[in-house]
Amino acid sequence: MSSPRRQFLDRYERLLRPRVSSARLRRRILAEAEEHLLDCAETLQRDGMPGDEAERIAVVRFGPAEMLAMNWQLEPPSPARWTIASTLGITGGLIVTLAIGPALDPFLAMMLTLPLAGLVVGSGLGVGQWLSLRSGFRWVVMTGLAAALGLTASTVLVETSGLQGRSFSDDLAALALIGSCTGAIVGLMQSLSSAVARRNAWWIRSAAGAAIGCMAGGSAAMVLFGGLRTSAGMLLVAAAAGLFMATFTAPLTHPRPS
Amino acid sequence: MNLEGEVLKGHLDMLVLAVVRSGASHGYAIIEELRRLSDGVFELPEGTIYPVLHRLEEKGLLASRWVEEGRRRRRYSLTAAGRKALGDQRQSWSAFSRAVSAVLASAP
Repeated sequence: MSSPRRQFLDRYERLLRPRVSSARLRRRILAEAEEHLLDCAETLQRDGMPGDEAERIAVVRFGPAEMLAMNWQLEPPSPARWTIASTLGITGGLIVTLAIGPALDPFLAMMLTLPLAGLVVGSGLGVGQWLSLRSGFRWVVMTGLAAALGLTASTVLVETSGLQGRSFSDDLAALALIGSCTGAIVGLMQSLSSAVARRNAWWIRSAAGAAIGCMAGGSAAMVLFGGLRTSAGMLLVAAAAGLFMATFTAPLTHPRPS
Repeated sequence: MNLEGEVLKGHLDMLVLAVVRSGASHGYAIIEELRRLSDGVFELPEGTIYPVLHRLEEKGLLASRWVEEGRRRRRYSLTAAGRKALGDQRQSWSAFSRAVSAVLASAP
């Protein structure tokens, strides 16, 4: 059976994991806690207390692990990791979609332009998510703004590059497939960048669901407004993307730092 | 007598800087010294000292490093900015406590 000190440290470590994403910092916090518990138990033993009892009292005096863990402020993921993860995630999703191209043959010409667009979309999304976690701005608002900026910029890029071969506004199944692949990889990459997300398997499924919602909402907008080439259609796609992303993934994120 | 936790929290940064300045340099010693100097008034769960130490280090008021003393220990010391901050906070506290004392003394 493990000692009270070891039991406490194991529990403290589990409670710190979702709050302190840096493994290095967690190791330091735990090392200092262990050092403190040893110091305290040694002092009590010098005063005549038996070893087991001294260790138990040292743990009690240190405080309840739940309360102590709450004192460590939640850390947002670093901006670079979050942005790179989102960018690579979206780009990776589009590359995978291209790899299963035969099922999407009529859309290949369009999709050749999208890895580049994904890079821009993912950058916007990643920056927005980081700003949201970092600054405490509402997740929904920031994700929506980031998606709007990213999608607008990427559409301008696609249009001005002259690479876009055909419209893809009339095939919901293809859009759903693009959305699910993209969303799953975005979710996976984001979960790798965040200790909290990594602990929550729902993150990946939710991101995929969000992306499917984005695509379905976007295609409805395109039908209504005649495609991405119209500004009203573009704005509706962006709004749908941000809204679905936020609705599906926001409940899975840890509370924002105060 | 135990001071209310919230009141103590508001002044903990200043108190910790003062205790580190007085010579205590690792977490256990700092909390023990805080308890001893306050004659047991400042009684906190001992683990709460570490988020304070880390925060003060992030602000550049403390520096820390591991040292080997039979066992590895994290030693904290005041930086130049920490010494200045402590001096400023001492002055503010003196003015504040004089003002509070004057008001309380005027009551019958």
